[in-house]
Amino acid sequence: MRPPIKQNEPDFLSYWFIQHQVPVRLHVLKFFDCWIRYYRDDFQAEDTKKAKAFFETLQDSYFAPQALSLLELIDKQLPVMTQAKFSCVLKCIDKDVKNGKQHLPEYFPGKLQFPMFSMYLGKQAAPRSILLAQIQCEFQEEYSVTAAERNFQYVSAQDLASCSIEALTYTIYYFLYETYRNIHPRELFGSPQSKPETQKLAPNVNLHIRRTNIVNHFVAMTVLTTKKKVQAYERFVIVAQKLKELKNYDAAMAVINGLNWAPVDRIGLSNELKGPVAGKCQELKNLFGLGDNWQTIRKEINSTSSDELCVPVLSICLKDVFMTEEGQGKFEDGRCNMLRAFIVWRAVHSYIRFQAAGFKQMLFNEQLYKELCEQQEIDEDRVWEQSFKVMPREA
Amino acid sequence: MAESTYKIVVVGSGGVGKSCITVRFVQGKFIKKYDPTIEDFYRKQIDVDSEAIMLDILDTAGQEEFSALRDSYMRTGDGFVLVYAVNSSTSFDDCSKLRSQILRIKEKENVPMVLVGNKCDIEERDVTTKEGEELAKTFNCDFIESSAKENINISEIFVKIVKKVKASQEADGVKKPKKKGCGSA
Repeated sequence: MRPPIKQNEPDFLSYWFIQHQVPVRLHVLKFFDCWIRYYRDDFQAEDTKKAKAFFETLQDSYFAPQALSLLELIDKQLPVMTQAKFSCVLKCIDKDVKNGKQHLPEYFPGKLQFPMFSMYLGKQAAPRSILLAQIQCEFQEEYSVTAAERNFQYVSAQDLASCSIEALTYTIYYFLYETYRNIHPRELFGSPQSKPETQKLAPNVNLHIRRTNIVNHFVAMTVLTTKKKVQAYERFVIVAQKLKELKNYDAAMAVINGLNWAPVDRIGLSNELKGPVAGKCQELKNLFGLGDNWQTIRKEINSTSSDELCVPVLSICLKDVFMTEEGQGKFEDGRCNMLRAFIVWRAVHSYIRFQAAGFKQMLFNEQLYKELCEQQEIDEDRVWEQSFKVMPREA
Repeated sequence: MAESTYKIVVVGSGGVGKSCITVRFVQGKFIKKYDPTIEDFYRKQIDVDSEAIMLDILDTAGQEEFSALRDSYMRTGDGFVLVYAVNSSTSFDDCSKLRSQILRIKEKENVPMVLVGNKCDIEERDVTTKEGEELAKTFNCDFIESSAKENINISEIFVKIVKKVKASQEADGVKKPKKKGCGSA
């Protein structure tokens, strides 16, 4: 903004203040308002402190009402940020259903933050970032159960049989959906996974990756520890197929990768499948295989409307973003590399665009959900050990 | 002429330059065609010993944290490019761990592999060329130093690994891998 021309004339200065300076400053304050309202998570403690200090200086000025409103907004929003909870309403099927009762489990996160419209992505925007890792911690503290105190109880053949395919499907569906829903686009840029402060930069992405690994682990260990292995394998193929039909491609891929995992695959259970399940299994393995740079999944996801419930595959998005950012410079011939920016934006946008879709009620296995949440770390050696117990290593 | 297809897996710790090696190899100078989402992005044909070979590069870059996915890459591969950065001793140490994982998955004692010391243009090294060569000896594999930034030895890495895969398949008595198209002899 240019300074006033006639700086020594008080009348002109007051005219300039009202006609030029006030509108511009009001625009700036409006911008702050939008920023805090829709991007409050971008305000880290230090930035919040600075913003508050700035608004406080305006309290005695012409802009006092706006400054006060902004200060109130920050105070109102900050506690929400730390207390944010999951939003979906789920029906619980377990013992209570058998007794004719249905209830929402007490521990289950109650209210959801619904997605907001983003200023740069329009309607197909990401929701506000919720510090899920923190929520997960709170949830775990509530139960005071650690991996060391309580070994992960894999669903035995009997339990697995008692857990309906629908319940198994929806529990795995929700387990990965809730983290997907809270991923902020900022977490996908700049390969935060390779940086030491990754937990701070991408808490939701990290939690989602951990959960994906937990699903792989759960599927693999359940198949390996169950006596009726072929039946368990078959069950998971059906679960993966249902997850694919529900358009939760990430969860379907996690289940298939669990079955495809070398310690499970080496046993050759897929060869023992019969009937249509065998065909489905091969179809799913091809779909989620590495061969064609996931073209089939990409096409299916691209043809899905943003209003539909869909969970795209995080690993594909991360790879696309990573390969673009690493493979091309930010600048080309001294100019901003717009191709790079476009490809990165497109990869991120095609991943997050379904976050705003409404969630429907689902049947849900509380016990399994709890077990999955309580799982801490993936011990690959344990899976291999179990695999070699089933089928000893070739000499 | 129909060509053989080999699946080459590029593995290594995060930040060693795996993606840069892959991109440099598959894209070369044609950066304007750059789009990692297209089907053929990770494919490139090269000539080795007067034979046309189609390479399918399986790069784990950006997906290292997905444990089952990493295993899938390893299981699918015919040959492996094991990458470390010459300025990172941690990445050098990780190579032994990665090799053990590959051998465990493949359930073999020897797998076609090339050890690559990337970022050789950097002057401040943590790993010497001799250390790289010695590790390659213990792995019973070839060794090469490269720089994706300066385009040093990038094609050579893939020529070496193709030769290793071919030799390994001949030793195992395996016929040539699947051929695309018709008219093969």
